[in-house]
Amino acid sequence: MIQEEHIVQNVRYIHKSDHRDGTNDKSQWTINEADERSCFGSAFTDVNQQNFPNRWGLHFDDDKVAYLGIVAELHKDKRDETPLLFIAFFENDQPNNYWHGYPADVKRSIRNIPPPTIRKMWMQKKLLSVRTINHIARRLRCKL
Amino acid sequence: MQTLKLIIQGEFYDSQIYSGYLYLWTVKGSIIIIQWEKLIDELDIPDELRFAAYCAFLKSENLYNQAFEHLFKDKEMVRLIRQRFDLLAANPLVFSLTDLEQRGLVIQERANPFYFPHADIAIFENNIYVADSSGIMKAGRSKTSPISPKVEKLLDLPALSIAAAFDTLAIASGDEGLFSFDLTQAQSKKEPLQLVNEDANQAHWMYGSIFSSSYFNQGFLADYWLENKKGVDRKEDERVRTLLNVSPAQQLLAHNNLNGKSGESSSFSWGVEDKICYVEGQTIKVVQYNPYEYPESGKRFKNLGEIKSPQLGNSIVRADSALFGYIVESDDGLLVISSLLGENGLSEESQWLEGEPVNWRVFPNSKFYTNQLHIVYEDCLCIHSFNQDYFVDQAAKKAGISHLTRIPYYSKKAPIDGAFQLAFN
Repeated sequence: MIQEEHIVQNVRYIHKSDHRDGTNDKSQWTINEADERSCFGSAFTDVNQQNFPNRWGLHFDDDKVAYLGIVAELHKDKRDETPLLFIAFFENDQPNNYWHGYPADVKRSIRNIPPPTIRKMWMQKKLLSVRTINHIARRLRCKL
Repeated sequence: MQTLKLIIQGEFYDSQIYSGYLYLWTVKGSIIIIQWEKLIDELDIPDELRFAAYCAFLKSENLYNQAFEHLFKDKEMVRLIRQRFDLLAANPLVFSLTDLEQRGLVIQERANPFYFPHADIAIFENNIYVADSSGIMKAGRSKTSPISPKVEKLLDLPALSIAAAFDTLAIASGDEGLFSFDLTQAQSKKEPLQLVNEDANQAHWMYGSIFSSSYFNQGFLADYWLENKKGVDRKEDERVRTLLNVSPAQQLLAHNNLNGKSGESSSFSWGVEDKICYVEGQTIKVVQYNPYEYPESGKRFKNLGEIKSPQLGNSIVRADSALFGYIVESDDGLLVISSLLGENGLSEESQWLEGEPVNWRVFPNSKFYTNQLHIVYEDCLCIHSFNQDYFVDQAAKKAGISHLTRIPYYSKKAPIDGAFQLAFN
């Protein structure tokens, strides 16, 4: 399937369909495509993230961090009453050189945990509570 | 019996206590070091409460001393000691950082040289280890330099939880598994040893063995044979660890007829020192572990039965064990299941600590702080001291680590002769 390409902050960005079509082993976006691109744009230009090959983003609703996705159906844990996700993970696909992203299931994958400098910035700007930041670092169940 | 509380106001991320110093990791990115011994020595309390304060905050070992065993058979003495703890608990001790600075108790505030905000910290044999998904960093410490200026990266392995003992770092590395790293080999750039290739979120020592907990499996025990090897003289005696096998906790429970609904995912398990705990609904199933019994003896694991608590639920965030009981975090608070259990298996002095903690930790391997629970809230560090466990029969104990089987200070030095026999007979 041909996926439409967008230019965001002068780089190529595509929306991966498997993170929107209910594919059962993929986390799913709950925000629309325009908001996904906006989340990527902010993360891509974030001065604190320029040294990283990947980017991590947050989605805002009325200036507050809001949920942007849901855990993959296959990975849902019935102990977790709120299987919602609020961190986006973006990566550059090589050699095609386009960016794409998905809601990061931090609890499942250590690779999806944002680096300390990003967590520190989110904590000190009070975008996320200190408890939430600690739970992200420890990969514990967390909520907004 | 009330819990003693000492509160330090401020915005903190984590805390550690080691060798007379309290380390505070602040949200703004510094580390504050406080002279803990001096703070407790200088508490403005009546003289008759000083012994209780000393045991509660400085030397938790004192009242476990065998010399007190006979004293505690005197009910009047027990009543008096409990009363002292209760009087001390009546007024929480509250300090601001400014108070502590004015009293000359803040010996250093310095920029945090480690990963921050980190996942976990361990202090062992005068080294500070800081774990994060980015790797593990290390710095030395001493009485004169509570954090050495020389900070190095020890490992690239991502780490969510670390625990140090037997010159070895146990590392829970999330979806990469459970690892152990020989700290004596750190200079040789040797790779960590993978013990479990299934998900691991927390790592805990069970004597020479390591238990990993996870949301995605029932936990694993890397079971080591622990042997006391005699040296030329007593000073050279040491404990030798040999890996026997790695078993899922579910299997251990099945062997002990503790299995509930097999494969039920609404369970969480953890193991620390002599107890493996397995939560199912409002029940904790407890298995006692003795690393000195041969696997074929059938005595290596012993079913201790169940503890019920109506406050237990399925939404466990994480859990840990201390001498004073079990600590279980859920979404909206901490449940402390006291080691003082009633006949009905209900914990009589259990406490629900309402409020979402930023972070918390206990110090089961420490020399003198085993009765402390540090809870960081958004605006303070609250240090709880639990002191009921001195009066609990350690051999028959179901909730919490047994003091009798505790390996002194987790060094490689051999344990006190006979301590294990006393506990497990």
